[in-house]
Formats: sequence, structure tokens, C-alpha cells
Amino acid sequence: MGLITHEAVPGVVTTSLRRLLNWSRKSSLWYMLFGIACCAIEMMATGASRYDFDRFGMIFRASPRQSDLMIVPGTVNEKMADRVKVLYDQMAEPRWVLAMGGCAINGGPYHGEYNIVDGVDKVIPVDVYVPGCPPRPEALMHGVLLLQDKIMREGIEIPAPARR
Amino acid sequence: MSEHEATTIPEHLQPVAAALRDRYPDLSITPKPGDWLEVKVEADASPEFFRYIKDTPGLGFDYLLDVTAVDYINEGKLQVVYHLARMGADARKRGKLVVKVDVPRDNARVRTVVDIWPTADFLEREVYDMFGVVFEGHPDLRRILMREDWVGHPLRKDYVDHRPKRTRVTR
Ligand code: SF4
Repeated sequence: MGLITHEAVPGVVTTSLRRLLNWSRKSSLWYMLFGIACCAIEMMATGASRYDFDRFGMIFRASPRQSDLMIVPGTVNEKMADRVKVLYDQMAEPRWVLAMGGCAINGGPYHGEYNIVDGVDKVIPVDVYVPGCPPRPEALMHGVLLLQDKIMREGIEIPAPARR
Repeated sequence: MSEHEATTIPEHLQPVAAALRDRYPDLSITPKPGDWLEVKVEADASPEFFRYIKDTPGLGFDYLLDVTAVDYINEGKLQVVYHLARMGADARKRGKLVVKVDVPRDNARVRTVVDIWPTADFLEREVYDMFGVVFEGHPDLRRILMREDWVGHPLRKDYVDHRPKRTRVTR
């Protein structure tokens, strides 16, 4: 966890405030209840009991104002892009975005189509990209672990690859 | 023409063809695979024709499955396509009807069928949105899929994408 345990005094842990903040943030990534295409089904599967996001401290929130993470699971079309931006703007800092699936990365199977925004990163900044069509729950969980790594490194210089 | 295509009208569709010929002797009626009868109608004759096929006993095509269009850009025409089936008193009779109406590309106008089949409301709005076919008499002919300020009709073959290029957003 990156905490420095003090062997001398049992039960006492010393760490920096920055680390403690990052650790608490990464351990309770509440994600937004929000799905825009077929990838959302796989996200729901990841959240349900078989794969169980809860064990990462991740539960979905039905309001962007209570969410830390926006998983963008699906095709972003021109009409939806404005809504995605509004939802992102309603989230409080610190906030993260995970682009799930080919569609959210660059349009995927619909790349270059007349009504498709070629990737959600044309609308909001993205932290982690998880490829696939759709990505399996394992891939999504891997993406979340990468994001946790990234959060642990926030404000701290740790040479990559970071230790979990 | 595919080899599977029927050339004669199958027996169970003969009454439909007969009822159509009864009123419109010159109508071109073609059987198509999958239990379809294809009929081509002139744009100005279509409102009366649609009324007829819905209300005539023995025809009774009271269910509009779909309205769509095809862009024949080389021939300078748009073809509006109506798919019809039977759900009411004639529901047990097999066979569906596909009605094709040709309109010029530069002046694509047909009469609406909303007053005959209310379900045509959204279907016609979609055809308007995608192909720019104007359905005269439609109560609320707005775009349904694209944004309201969209320029052009995307499923036309000469559609040009006017969107400005988007660049990647970073934190
Ligand atoms: S990446 Fe594939 S599965 Fe995911 S939203 Fe796009 S089409 Fe659907």
C-alpha cells in the first residue's frame, strides 16, 4: 500500500498526508451509474456479484455530484457528447475518467461515422483507456487497477512502473 | 434477379393481387421472397392508394411496419419504401406488402400517412432526418435522431460532413 510501517511502535503507521489522501481516494472510487451503449452491459456485469466491484471499494452512485469516476461505457454520439460533458462538469474534483471499449477510445467500429464523436477524449480528458469490444470484466478491472496506480502517484514522484 | 425469386404470385397472395388490380388495373405487382408482394405507386396517387389498402376488406393492411428510403443517386431519385402487414380482422392471412414510391432527389415530397397509420409519425421523421424527404401534412416534421441544428441529411449518398475537427482534450 506504500505506507511506511513503523516496526518500533506496534499499531502506529507513519506516512505522508499526500499518500494517505491518495490511498483513501483510490480505495473508494465511486463510479457514476451511467451507460451509453453495449459496453454498459459488461460494466454492469463487472459491478455485479460474479466480478464484484465492491471489493475495490467501488459502488455506483446515481448522481455525478457524488461520483469520483466516470466510466464511459459506449459510443459517444454528437447528441450525447454534450450530455457527457455536462455530467463531467457536475462531478466534484478530484475526478477521473475511464474510457471503456473501442467506441469510447476512438469511435471503434463506428469510427468516422456521420454522428459519432471519435473518442470521448475529444470532449473530456481521459485517464485510462480500456480497449475491447466490449472489454471483458477482467480488462475493466485491470483498467481500474491502473487507475489506482495513477491515483497513488498523484502529487508524488514514484518512478514508473509503480508498485501497487 | 436471384434464382430463389418467385416469378408467379403465390396462391395465398392471389386475393391481394386481385383486389389491387380490381381498383388499379395497371399496377405493377411483383412477388418477392419472404412472402412479400412489391407494388410501385406514383407519388401523387399514393394517399388514396394507402387508404384503399388499409380499409378494403380482404386487403386490410392495418399495420405499418416501417417507412424507409433508398437513395438512387445515379437515377436522380429517392425511393420511399413502406412495409405493411395485417394485424386486425385479416391477421391470419399470410403475406406482407411493400410499397415503393419514387420521388425526384431535388424535390423529394410525398403525402404523409400519419392520418392513416399514426405510427408513421416517428418513422417519417426519421426518413426526413436521414434523407430529407418532406412528408406533406405531417403534424410535426422535425429531426428525430440528429441534433436540431444539423446541416444535411446523412444517408444521402452525396452527404458532406461539415463538422469541425475535434482535438483531444487533456487535463
Ligand atoms: S466498443 Fe463495442 S461493445 Fe463497446 S459500445 Fe462500442 S460497439 Fe458496443
